[in-house]
Amino acid sequence: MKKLIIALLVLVSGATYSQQDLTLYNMRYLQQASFTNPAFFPECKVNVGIPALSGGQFRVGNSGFVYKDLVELGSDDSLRLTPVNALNGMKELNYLDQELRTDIIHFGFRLKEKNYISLNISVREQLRVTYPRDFFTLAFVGNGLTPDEAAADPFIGNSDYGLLGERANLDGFGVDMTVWSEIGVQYARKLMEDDKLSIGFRPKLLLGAANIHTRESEIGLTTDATDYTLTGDLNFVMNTSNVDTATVTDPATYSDPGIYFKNMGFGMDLGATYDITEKFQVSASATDIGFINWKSNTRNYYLVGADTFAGVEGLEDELLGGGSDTTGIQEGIVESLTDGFSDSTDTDKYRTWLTARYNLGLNYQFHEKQNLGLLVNAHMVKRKLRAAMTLSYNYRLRKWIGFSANYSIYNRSFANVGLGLSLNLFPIQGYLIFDNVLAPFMLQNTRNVHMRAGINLTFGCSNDKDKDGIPDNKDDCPDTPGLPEFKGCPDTDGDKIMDKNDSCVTVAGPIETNGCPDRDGDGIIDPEDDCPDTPGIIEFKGCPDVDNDGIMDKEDECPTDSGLVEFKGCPDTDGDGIKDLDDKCPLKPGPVEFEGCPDTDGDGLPDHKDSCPEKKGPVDNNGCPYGDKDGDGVLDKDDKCIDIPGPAENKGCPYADLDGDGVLDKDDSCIDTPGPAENNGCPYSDLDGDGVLDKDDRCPQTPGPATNAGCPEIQEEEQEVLNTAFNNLEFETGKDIIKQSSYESLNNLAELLIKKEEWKIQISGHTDAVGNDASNMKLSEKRSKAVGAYLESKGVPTERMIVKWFGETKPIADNGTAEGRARNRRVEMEVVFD
Amino acid sequence: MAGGSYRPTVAVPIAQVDVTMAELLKSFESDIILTDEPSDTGTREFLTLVFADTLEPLTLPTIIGGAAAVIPGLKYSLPVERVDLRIFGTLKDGSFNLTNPRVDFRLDNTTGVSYEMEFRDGLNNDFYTQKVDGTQTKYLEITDAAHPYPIPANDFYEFSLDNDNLVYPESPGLKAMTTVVEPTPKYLYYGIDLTTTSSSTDLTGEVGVVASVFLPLRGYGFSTRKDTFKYEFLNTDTAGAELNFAELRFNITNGLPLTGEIFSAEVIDTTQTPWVKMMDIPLYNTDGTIDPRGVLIEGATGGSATNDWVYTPAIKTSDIILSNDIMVQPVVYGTSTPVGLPISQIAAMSGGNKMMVEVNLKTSKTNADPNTEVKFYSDQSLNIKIGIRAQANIDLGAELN
Repeated sequence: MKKLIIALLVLVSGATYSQQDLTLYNMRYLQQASFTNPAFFPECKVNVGIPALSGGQFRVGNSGFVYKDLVELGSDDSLRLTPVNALNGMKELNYLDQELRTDIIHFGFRLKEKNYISLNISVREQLRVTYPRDFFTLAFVGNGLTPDEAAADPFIGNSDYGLLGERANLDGFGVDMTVWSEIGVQYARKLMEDDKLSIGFRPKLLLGAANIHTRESEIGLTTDATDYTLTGDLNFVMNTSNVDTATVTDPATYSDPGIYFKNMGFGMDLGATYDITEKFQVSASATDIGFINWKSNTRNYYLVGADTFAGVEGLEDELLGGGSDTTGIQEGIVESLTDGFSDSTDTDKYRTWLTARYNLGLNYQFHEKQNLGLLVNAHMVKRKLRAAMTLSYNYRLRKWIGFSANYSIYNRSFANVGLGLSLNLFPIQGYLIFDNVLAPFMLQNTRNVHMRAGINLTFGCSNDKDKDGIPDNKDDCPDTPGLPEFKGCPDTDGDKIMDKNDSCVTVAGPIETNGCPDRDGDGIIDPEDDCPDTPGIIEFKGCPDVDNDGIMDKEDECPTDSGLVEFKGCPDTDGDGIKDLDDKCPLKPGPVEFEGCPDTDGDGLPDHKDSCPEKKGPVDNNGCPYGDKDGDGVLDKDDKCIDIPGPAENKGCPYADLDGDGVLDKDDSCIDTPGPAENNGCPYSDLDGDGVLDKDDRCPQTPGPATNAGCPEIQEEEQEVLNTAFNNLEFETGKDIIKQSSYESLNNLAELLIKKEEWKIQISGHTDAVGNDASNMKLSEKRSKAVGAYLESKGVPTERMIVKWFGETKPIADNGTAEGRARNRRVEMEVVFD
Repeated sequence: MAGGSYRPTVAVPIAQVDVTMAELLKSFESDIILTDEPSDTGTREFLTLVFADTLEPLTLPTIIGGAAAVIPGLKYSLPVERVDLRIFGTLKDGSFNLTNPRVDFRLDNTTGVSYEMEFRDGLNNDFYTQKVDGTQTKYLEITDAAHPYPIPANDFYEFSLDNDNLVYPESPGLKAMTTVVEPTPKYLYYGIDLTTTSSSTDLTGEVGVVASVFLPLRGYGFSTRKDTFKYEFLNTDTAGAELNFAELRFNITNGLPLTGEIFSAEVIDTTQTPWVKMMDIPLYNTDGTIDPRGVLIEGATGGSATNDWVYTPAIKTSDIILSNDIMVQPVVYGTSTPVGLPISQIAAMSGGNKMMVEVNLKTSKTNADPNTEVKFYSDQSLNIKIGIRAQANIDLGAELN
């Protein structure tokens, strides 16, 4: 008995977060299941909850330690306290949850099969006490061990429990309690083909009755490791509404409906289900999303500050032997403990949020009556996500009995087995659900207890599995929606032949073909007809062969011409191996290189391209031989004058003689001016106009008589001067120095040259062959230049002197004789004209 | 935990005591003068002890020895008087070398006769200091040019004797007043001759003599003393079996330039005569060890004339450890032998009413120089925080089973 009491006390005094309705979520044929997901459709058309009895819920839970953590059985069967185990069983922040719910009114009905509407008025209460682990650490272990000492202590063995020199973290300590009523209207709707998708929502009007809310809680106690000074820090804010003593103890409070309407809020439940396949369904929901604004009898408490207690002060006199004022010391203790904190209150309104809960589920209907479910449930507690996972097995025997068994893991607890049972004895439906059915049998390990029970009245629950309006007992096809004229069996394609007799269920067809269509009327039904829109023959599965060549038309490249297999049904009329479609001469055989055409004249050009198919001719003449029209031996293709004969070298055209001088233009250098052939058709010129044609004029640029070949005549006396100058010219031996004896004659020559401005004199130096060639060349050069220089010195312009030298290269006599050599040693002077 | 025991360990502060130098000196039998001294950190109050001796006023008839009238030249020799000199009131040993002590005299003459006041000074005469045990007599000689001092009629006369106008005849090179005051405690003896220097037939009036010794607390020295403290917070009738251990933690922040060595701490019963010692209290270091020389509380250091005598406090932490007889130790000690007093002795501790502590006080040294000067100000303080850490051992087996 003692154990039971202790266990219950631990259960109640511990702290955890409460769990969602893990079992109820999978009993969705109950209308109460819509509180977990408003998209759930109850299986009966009308559901009425017995007022105040349709939905009762009680939940209490503990996230901290369990009984067995705190007390263990020793080897001598005696109980012993194990507070450190209890600490090990806690997290840094722990919760005690408790919840009550009663559905005052809850009824709903289905509207036109695809809609469900319900109304509920419920009264709910939620309580959460949050306590930090360090609170119990202070109680069980104290603040007197450092972390190292706590770790080394064999009974503790954990440095986290050493608070000496550390801050005992009491943050989060607080109470949250809400009592409220909610008025909700649920609407659910099936969507999409085959009602695959169902969505639902439930807006709720929330009416708050009372609230305690710990808005901020930062509490710490630090013990200095050196002198044990205690330092407390506090930031604590608590909001309350309607929990003051006067309100709570006044009976009028509970009978005044107005009190509820002073604290109003709004909430929403949302949900959806979706049939992925016939067997798999996924679902999701979010419930209790909402808030309440608290305005009535609000009182908010603010406690903040930090203070240090280092011991009682004012004992100096005591210590030094004087008297002591104990009253003052006591006042000093109180003051030193509290003077660092400030407290205040106000009556401001405030808002609290409901604890929203989220579900994500997957169901597998592996049997008509059975399914497996996987559910993940989560909600936020003090900004931390708390999650649970449930595996369930659900059984439904018609609509009479429903059974659900599940295994859940949450809050580090692995021993949670839930059971749910519903019994429908039409119209009374009762249900009983435990989310932790082992709790009474495993008190030592129990962290939470949750039960729900209720009674509903249900109507319109007849079995119609396929929901075709035909009860299963009259439905020849109870699992498939069907038509009354076919006793509940379907005619999917609407061809008045029910599916089980219809060979083509999804396509309408006549009775003659067992409900299958034959669009082309070829006697082969469309599902078996490869060419359903074209009449065909059986050999080709309903496809035609128009040209009857044994190749069906859709494979026959020439469906209207009977052809050969090797040519995919196309013919080869001339049998040249080239199908007619590719044969340029389908009626005449021809090689591939000629595109199936012959080459009659063998000129390499097939007849269809040969302009002269029977005469050989070059390709560039389109197969015709070339002609020569003017008979000039130049083929017309090369003849530029095909009508006028002409030489090949003139491309078949005659040569012209434009100036008519008998010299063809091709040979005539002056085609516009007549001239003799010996002058290339050009007239001879006479530049100097002396009547002597230049060709005959030895001096073409200087007039002279013809008797002198067009050159000016040199008078005798003038010639004499020249001759004298030549004859008298002498040089010193081997040198280019003119002997003095030559001067006179040279002077005369110079005088003459000066007078005769039209004259030029050509001075040519020569030597004999004595000595080497180079020396003689040089000597001849010097001598001729010497003569030129002398004449120049005498006033003869240099531009009228032409100085040349030839060395021994132009002898005029025999160099073998002295006489000959003397004659060769000369400087010739000759008058020349331009 | 065996047997279902519940063993929390609790650490709480109990008290904190902040004793300033001024308050500490007030407990001893002297007056204190606070002299404002400006500094960079604000005005501070320099401490000076004042010991005063007021003689019974002398009447004219006493002075003139029964003569009918006053005539010049009548001499009256006052008996030797003495002034008490002690720094910390100890009855044991101590020595303080004060930088600039002095003695002020004031004569209030309400008679109509003028006098000449002459000290019977000099070697082996009636102006000297002597320890309370009668040893270490040190003579003084007055070199003040005004001595013998003229005392006007119907008026008062004041003068000071210090290192500047006194000579220590046995070693004239030393500072006389500094030398004769050290070591303390001791008395300052003085003998005075009064000689009339005027005539009068009016024999009314009196001559009052007040001698005040000023000991400015600047210098160096040591003092060994025993003191007692009330001891109520250690009283407990807690059953020893319910405690595994208890540590009384003393955290001392010493802002005085005085180093203390606590040689012994005893619990005594002063209600009996003679006092009865109940037990010795060992003072542990925080690691569970005991220094056989006692507990050393370092003095504040770093003060000098260059930084306006600002000292850096020293911190010392000591424990009185009580542990269960069955050797349940705080794990921090990690020893195989018991540490601390057995808890069973708590009863003996509760039998006493005071704790007596023998302590040696020395002025702080700089660089181990034994002649380091220190100065005492009223704001220097000794802060003691007392806390307790105890581990309970409560058997809950009966309640559970």
